[in-house]
Amino acid sequence: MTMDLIDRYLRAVSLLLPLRQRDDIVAELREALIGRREEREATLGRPLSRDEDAALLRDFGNPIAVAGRYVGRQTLIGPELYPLYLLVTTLLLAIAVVASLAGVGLALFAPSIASETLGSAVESTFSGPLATVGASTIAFAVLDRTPARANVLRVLDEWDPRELPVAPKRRPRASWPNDVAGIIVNLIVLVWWAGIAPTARLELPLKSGQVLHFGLAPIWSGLYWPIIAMIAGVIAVHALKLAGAARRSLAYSVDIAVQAAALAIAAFALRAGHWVIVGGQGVGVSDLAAADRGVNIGFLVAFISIVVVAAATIAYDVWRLVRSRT
Amino acid sequence: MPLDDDTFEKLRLELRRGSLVLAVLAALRTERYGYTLRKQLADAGLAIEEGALYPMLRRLETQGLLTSEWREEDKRNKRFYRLSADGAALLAELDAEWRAINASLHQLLGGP
Repeated sequence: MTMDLIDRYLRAVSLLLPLRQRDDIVAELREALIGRREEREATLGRPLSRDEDAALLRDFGNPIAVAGRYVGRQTLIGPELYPLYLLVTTLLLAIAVVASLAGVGLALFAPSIASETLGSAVESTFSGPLATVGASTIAFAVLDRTPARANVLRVLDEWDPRELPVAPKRRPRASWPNDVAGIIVNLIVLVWWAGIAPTARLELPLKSGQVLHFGLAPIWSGLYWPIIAMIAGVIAVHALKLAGAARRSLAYSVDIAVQAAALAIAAFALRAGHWVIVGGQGVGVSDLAAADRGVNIGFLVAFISIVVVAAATIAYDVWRLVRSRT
Repeated sequence: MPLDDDTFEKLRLELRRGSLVLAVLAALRTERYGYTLRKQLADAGLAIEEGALYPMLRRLETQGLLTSEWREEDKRNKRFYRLSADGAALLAELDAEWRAINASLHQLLGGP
């Protein structure tokens, strides 16, 4: 074996070795390589070619891997803390993703109450979760190398089986009453919306002949058909679940579409900023304005809730769908 | 789902990993240097890569289970390893443990 290949190989290894043991380890590896070469040459009965030399070194191992085995610690976070790291990081990541998406949603559909512009909100959708994982990893890597590690492990070890939460009583698998009720309720909502809702007007009598009127804002007429389609989708999901386990995957797929529609409808509606028109007889202008503002703030909160719930439901359905296929 | 070769290989390596330390300690009741040690292990059916063997020897020496010295043999400097007194005591304990595990597995797995 040409010595320059050995020398180059050992130099590559030595750069990654602990300084104190470097010379000693390199001397031993050199001896091992020469021994291996002699063994091979004795088997073949001739000197090795340069390609065979290179193959022998390749077989000995990548310099990074060989040197790595001499470094005592080979993990960023050790096996004792790793499960806790995984749990904490997953939770933090989920929170960061939801917060980032909420930021994007607000910047997109309710810019007046968003704290960021759309551009910076989209940017933080990527950078936020990544930074969260990075920060958590660094924190645990540092923790694993400090005396505080022992305290954490002690806390983890101080657990009492009697303090574990009681497992919730699982309802029997039969979820059909829930689905039947879902179909009935949604059919009623569908009939109500299809027949009356666009022109619906609620009257609320107050004391001494005053009456408040609540009517739907024009935004709703544009959402007439999308809402009908969404309610029909909800009914279809319940019907598919009733059809049994064979249709469950399809039910989750349709539910994803329904929730996506709910997201889109809520997002579209959020743009309007005004969803209910409040009028009245015998009510002062300032009182009417206050009532109008109060009712519409209620709707704003409801729409934001719908966006969050729909996003969470989509994530849950995707998870169920993936799990049912693995 | 049928198990693939990769799964078998991983489990096989896991199974061997623990026993290799025992094998190295047992082989070093007689003084040897890296090459002859590896050869003896391979001849006994426990081949080990040099990339894994040398760091293991160093770790066992750091733990006080082996001693080593550089000596010239056949005009070349070689590092010879042998079991220390502590290593010999530990080997006796590990040997007993290994035999107990072996007996248990034999009983569980069945066979002649």
